[in-house]
Amino acid sequence: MDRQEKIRNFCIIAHIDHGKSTLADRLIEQTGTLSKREMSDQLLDSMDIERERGITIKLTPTRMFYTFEGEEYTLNLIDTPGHVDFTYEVSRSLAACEGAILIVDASQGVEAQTLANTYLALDNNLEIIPVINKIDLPSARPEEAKEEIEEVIGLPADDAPLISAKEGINIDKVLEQIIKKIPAPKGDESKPLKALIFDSYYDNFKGAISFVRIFDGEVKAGTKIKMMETGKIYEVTEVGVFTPAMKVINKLEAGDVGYIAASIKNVSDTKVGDTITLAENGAKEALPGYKAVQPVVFCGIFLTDGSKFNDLKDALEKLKLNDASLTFSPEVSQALGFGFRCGFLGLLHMEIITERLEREFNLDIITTAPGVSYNVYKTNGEMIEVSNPTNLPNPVEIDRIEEPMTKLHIFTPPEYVGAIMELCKEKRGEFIDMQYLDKKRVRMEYKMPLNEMIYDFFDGLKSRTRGYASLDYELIGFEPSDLIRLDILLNGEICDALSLIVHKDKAYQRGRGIVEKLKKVIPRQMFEVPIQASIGNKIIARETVSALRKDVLAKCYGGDISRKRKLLEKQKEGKKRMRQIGSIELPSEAFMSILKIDNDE
Amino acid sequence: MHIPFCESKCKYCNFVSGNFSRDIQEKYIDTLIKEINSYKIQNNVSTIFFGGGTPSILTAEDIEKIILAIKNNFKISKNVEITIECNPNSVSLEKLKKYKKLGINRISFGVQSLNDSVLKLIGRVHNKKQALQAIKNARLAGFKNINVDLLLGIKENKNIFQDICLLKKLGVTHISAYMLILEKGTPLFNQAKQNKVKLMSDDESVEEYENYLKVLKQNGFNRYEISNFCLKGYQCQHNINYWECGEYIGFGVSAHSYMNGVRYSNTENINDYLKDFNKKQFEKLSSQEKLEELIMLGLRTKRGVSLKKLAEYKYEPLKNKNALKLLSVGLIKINKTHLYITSKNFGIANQIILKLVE
Repeated sequence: MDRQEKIRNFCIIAHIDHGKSTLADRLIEQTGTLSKREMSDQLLDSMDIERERGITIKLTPTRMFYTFEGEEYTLNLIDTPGHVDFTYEVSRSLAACEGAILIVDASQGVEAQTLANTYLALDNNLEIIPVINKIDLPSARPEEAKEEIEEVIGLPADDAPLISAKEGINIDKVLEQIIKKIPAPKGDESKPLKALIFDSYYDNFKGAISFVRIFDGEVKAGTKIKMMETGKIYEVTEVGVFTPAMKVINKLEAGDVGYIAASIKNVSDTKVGDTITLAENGAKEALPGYKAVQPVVFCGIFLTDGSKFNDLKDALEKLKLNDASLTFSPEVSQALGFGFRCGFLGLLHMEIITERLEREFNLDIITTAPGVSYNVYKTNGEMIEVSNPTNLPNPVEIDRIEEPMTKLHIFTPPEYVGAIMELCKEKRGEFIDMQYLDKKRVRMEYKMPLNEMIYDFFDGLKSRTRGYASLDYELIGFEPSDLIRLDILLNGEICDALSLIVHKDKAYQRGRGIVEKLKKVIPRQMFEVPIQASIGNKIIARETVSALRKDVLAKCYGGDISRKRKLLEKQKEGKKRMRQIGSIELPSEAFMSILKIDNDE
Repeated sequence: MHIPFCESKCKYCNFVSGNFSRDIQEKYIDTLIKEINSYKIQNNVSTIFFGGGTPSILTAEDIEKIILAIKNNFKISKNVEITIECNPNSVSLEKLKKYKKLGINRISFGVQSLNDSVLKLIGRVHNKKQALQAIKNARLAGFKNINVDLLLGIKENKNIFQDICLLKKLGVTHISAYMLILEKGTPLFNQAKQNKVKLMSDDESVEEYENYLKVLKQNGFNRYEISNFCLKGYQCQHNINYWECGEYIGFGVSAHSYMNGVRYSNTENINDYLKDFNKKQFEKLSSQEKLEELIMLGLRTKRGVSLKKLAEYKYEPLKNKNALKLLSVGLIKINKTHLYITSKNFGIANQIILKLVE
């Protein structure tokens, strides 16, 4: 039998919490890839943050062996990041596979994110195996979940395995379907090398390592390779597979999943979606689907302690080594000093990076409110991209401003349709379409400015639908809009780090909301502090933080001194998180908190 | 000298104290004396303070034994100040006379309030009448230096003026007035949490404190520390030593000491103490920590913190950004020898101190 006949390359598609990592763990266990003892729970999530949040951004690929009807098969599991910020990476992971397992929660049914990724999988011509998970829960309604898969996605789900990944029920059925239903790879070993990079990471010793699926040809140590997008040429130092630990092997051939190391200095040279071929007599055409990744959400990152600027720079450079989609350039703020304007794939991506800066690099950072990049057309015919509100030109120089737009897909039980429509309207959303998929599920489509979407929309959606609605979005280009800059003044002086670009019709409401919120987060100072919101020179809202109240006076004798000093030290620590803006002390959360204003307030 | 015995525990108290049998009391005094005897250093002692708890619960003979032990092990200054804390209902005229004979020259009464309903609310075992009688007895026994502790912020006191005048008339020379702090785990804390008692709000307490300040000043009680007031010449030497970061040795359960830049603390468990009084924890202060304490404690006093001592830690207010800022807005002042908080800004002392040590 042909070598490739015994290979199955697949991925798992699932909504957050529907059990992707758990099923992956069970597959690894059942195939004996790792013994139970070697498994730490949810083995494949590597970052602390992923574990803590219970979400999986990226799993390590894994090779497993499974004997079915007397034949030993190689199963390669490639993961897809489970968040909308990483849609492009998902599409490349899917492109590396022939099939996908679609996990649907037996009690919750199909979610927006699942659907979006399933469509992506269908676009990549993947064979999809629906699996109903969590059948052990009392609220499970597997038959309805099956119906939903058939009605909503249009996939036959008759023989979908009913499993419990947690309890290890029917995992062998999943393995059987992987072998029976997913097509074997059909590459040509004799053609020149064609390998798709579906992920990459930076190793301190081996350099940037490409995770690849070999479509045609073969590669081994010593092979001279060429990155078709960048044209750069390297000599392979090592190839290997994932067991899931990386293990060196002799060569990778058509149909295989593995890694290639070639002393590459930077992950921006191992671009996800790029094709690796031979340096000489290589493939004529690259594999389809490569896209340059563009950041869509931006914010300023500064330090509470300005003297550590170089530490921040080093930290960002280190993160960038492993994350080609992160962008940053130096920025100076009057209020916050030297920092960087950083670009991210989305809000989750931003949160992950900022959290890693704090946790892994021990930096006390201040992030300004996230925003998007606008296309500003000036009266002199010039177009500039503006992501920092401070850089918005004088209104008389502006001809028009265009903002990035998104198309939203929202899935919800019918009872929340009204609440969602209201929320979308508040967020300048434009209704496109609505479809009743079945009795329990409605699909809504909206067009909405990206800026509105990143501003508290997801939280609002969750709270107004009690978590039942799910959301997916795609970028659909730029449209002109009536935008202005809203400034915030503290003690009469503009604090540039708090400026925002907002729609004219919402400026008053936002200004009001921000000054009220700031009144709550700014502690009383030794003097009274006015907080104002202004457009141009016009003050549109004002609040005042009254002067510091007197403390309760306590005694302090011999036995109290240690305790008092420790209290003082604690207060000092608290103060470290404060940023001196002019004569005012501002807690670093203030800069982000202005973004999260409860609509009820 | 920490004496952890009380007739009953007050509802706001989180000190190491309680009602123990005479048997335990005797063992405790023995252990205390052993601890005193364990010190071989012949330091010069200028103040002795019996605190608690309720030291006056012990017999005068108990106190005498302890004082003798101190005299045997330490060199005592000629003008030594010896204070004993007394609960108004646990000292008779006779006992006070014995104290006087032992060389005790300062009495501190835990009066707390001259309102019987307040005293009951906070679980004190005495009443107004007993308090006034105790002060009179102290005078009769020959004490010239008498302190009373007052606890504010429980219920509004409409008789501040009358109260202070009366205390002065009876011969009180020193008043410690501090605000109630609800300590976690105390009965009063729990009652307040469950809304079973209604105490004054922080803002109301501050306002009341300010009324006290006025009346105390009118009566010649000079505020020489944030919560301490006295007639001319009656400052408490013992406490001044704390605020000047001087050295001291504490004996007894949960007692603290400060020697050679190290803070020691005895165990907080009386049984552990009886078993092994030498089980001390200690913490060596860094010079930054010493500086912080110097500022934190010194600025509590009217006199302020000594510039000379600050200079030992290379702290020069006129070269410090934060100090200059506070000086420029008048929150702190400086004279030839000291840096100090102006009296009207004592209420925000914590914030000022924080700013200075930032």
